[in-house]
Amino acid sequence: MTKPAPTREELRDFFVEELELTDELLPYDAEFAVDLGIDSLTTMELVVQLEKRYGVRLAEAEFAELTSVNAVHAVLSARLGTA
Amino acid sequence: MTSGSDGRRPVLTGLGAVSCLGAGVGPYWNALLAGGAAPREVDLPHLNMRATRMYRVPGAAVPEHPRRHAGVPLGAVPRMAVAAALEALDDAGIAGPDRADVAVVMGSEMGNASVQEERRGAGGAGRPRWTPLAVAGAAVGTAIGSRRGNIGVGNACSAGGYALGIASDLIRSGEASVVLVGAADGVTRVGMGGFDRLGAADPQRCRPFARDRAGTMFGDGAAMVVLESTTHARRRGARAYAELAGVAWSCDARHPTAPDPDAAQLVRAMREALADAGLRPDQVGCVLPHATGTALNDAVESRALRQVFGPGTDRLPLFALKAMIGHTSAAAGIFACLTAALVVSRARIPANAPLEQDPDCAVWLPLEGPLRLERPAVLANTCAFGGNNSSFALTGPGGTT
Amino acid sequence: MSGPARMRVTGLGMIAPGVDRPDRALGPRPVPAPGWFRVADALPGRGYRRLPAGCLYLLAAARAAAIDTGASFTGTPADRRAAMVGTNNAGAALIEEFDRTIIDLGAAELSPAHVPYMAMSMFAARLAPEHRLRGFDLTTNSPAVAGLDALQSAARALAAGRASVVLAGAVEEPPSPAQRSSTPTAFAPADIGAAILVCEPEDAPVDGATVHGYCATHSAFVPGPDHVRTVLAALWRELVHDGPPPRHIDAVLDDSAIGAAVAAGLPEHARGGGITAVPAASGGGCLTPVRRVVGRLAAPDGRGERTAVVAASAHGHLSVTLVTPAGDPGRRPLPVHTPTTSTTTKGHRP
Repeated sequence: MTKPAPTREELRDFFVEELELTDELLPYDAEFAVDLGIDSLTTMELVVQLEKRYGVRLAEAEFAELTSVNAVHAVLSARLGTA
Repeated sequence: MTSGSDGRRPVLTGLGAVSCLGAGVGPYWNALLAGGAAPREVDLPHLNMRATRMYRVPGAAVPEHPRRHAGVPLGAVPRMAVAAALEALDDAGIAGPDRADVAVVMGSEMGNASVQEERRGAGGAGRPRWTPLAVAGAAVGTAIGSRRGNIGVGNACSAGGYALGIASDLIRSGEASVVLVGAADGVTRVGMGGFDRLGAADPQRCRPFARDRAGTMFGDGAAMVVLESTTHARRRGARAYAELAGVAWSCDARHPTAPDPDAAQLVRAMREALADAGLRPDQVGCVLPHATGTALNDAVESRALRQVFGPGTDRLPLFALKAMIGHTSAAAGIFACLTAALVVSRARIPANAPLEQDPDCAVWLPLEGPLRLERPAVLANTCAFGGNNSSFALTGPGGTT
Repeated sequence: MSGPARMRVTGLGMIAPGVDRPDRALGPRPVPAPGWFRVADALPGRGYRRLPAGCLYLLAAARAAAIDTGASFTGTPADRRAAMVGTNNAGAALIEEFDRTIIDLGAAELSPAHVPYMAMSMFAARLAPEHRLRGFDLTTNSPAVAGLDALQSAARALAAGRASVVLAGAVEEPPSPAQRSSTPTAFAPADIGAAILVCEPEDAPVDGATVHGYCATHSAFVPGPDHVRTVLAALWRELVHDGPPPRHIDAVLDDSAIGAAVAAGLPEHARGGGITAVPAASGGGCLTPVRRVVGRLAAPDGRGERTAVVAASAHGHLSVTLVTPAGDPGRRPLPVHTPTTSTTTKGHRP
């Protein structure tokens, strides 16, 4: 059921694809809301996709922490164990 | 305003309501003074979500008729709207053939959706037939024999404020002399489940401005008011509860569901409603805030009020209506208008529901009461998904400002 | 009682199956071919992928209309820009899908990005951040007439000074699959697509934009088919009280008792002009009447004559938009709308 944690690169590829960006436009520490103008519902939608992909369920309180690729990577790594 | 337009100033001459406090405006006001209603578990099947309570209209207060209109089965929402409409017209003393000249502006979002949900929830017993969601306006128009315009307005939780704006413009422009304006919304799995999914539904109760607020809780119901030109009301000797002195609209143009943290557009709506009414902030004696119990929204609205009313906010009584009847969605603005009309005409402000107030919401919620309305005007707000704001001001009839 | 307010139309946008330009709006309503709408072509840029189809149609029509108007739209301050959009079925399929998800899996499985669209008014609400509309963003929803009602409410809001420019029109998606399959009458072709008119007060200075023409909308209610004749006569009188009568009538009607009574009552108002009977989209929908308005305003010579577009619902709503194309040979200068005192005050708001 539980899968290995994604690498930062895999996560960035996912967000680049879903948000229709390029690697240059999505540095690892870019904040989805502040730097990219991504609304909170879209972020929530993408996290739901990640939950399904990696077989985890995040608590609502954790959603607020998922503000960048780095942040998502940290939360998922802590949950799944770093590869 | 100059004297030339005085005859077109819109006044409220009739009120009607079906709510969790029962049928009728009399019982509604008495119950507000007594502290409002408690939420109940919703008895819909398949309510697979965390927050499953609402401020429900008692079964006995939901009218059985009209059951159908033009081949469409009518759920509780349009039936409640018809009952509230008839009460409001009776209250205004508009009867018989005079009702043909009454225009209708009806706010509704989910509207008749409950009819579809019932069929769906019943499994194979019957697939949902197509029904327009916004059929309440036509049900009301037919029930009263109206031949004037019949405008259906959406805009989710601010539908009521927008319906009031349209009705006010109809009268000020001279397009209509009497408008029955109202809104109704009901109990739907989708409405409850959607808010639940967004973490915007409080499983306990609706507690605006409270430290432990956890989202909003819906209430069902219908509220209708009769708005007519001063000239028309005077000519037929009608008494008015209040004047709808100013209505303003604005839009955040920002986030689908969250309010702009700066509240710039809500502030603008309030200021323009006051300007439209020819009022200064210090002439407002009570505010009915939108105040849904959602964490961010209540804090943002508190800051917005402080921007408009300055240090006077500390001495400005707020009445958080939703703590007593829940969030009646599209109808919230009309319930606020109807309540404001009662506050103005009786010069009394009901006490708020007991709460431990959030220090981030620096507003005054009197817990003892009723208080006297010390200043002539009452301001009310509605906000909604999409960043749609509306604000409106009521004063005593006949320019008692 | 004063007549309805008129407004000037300076931009048009139209998206529907087989129709990608305003001057094709009078064309037929084919059953949509798969892939008829290409997001990447209609809406270049990012941020559109997760939006419901109706939202995309509306954004595409509004974008085209705003471009058509040009600088006088983009130059208007955000506080003075607004939208007024009619819809009956936008989100119908989504609501059904949401309810099935709740019944079968629970509310926790709902898509967060789609959930707000359970409120039909969220479709028009998406126009506000797109075009920085801070005046207002309002949805009308009466069956069949919501599109024409949006034009009417836009004109009234402009006259009242609530905005200086309004994107007004309609958007539709088809009814939900279950609703379609459970109804004995044929549902296809349903209303699909969006139409937007860029509207300004009739008497505002023309700011370099092309004027397509003028619209005035009036509405009434018929509490039963027996009332249609008298209600229609009063409505017609009030609508054309200070100008020449229409030379043509486009009647968008269904086969209900009200629809039949309106059809029977129209010839006495045609004054020898033609009547085009346009079957209303089955399963409701308020886009077709707005398509007629757009088509009449955009039509090259001949078909661009002064036309009354009529829509009625089986439930009793009746709305008529009087369309006067800029090039209409019979057009007399329209009398200047006299604003009331309160509207003058508002019109001068910063």
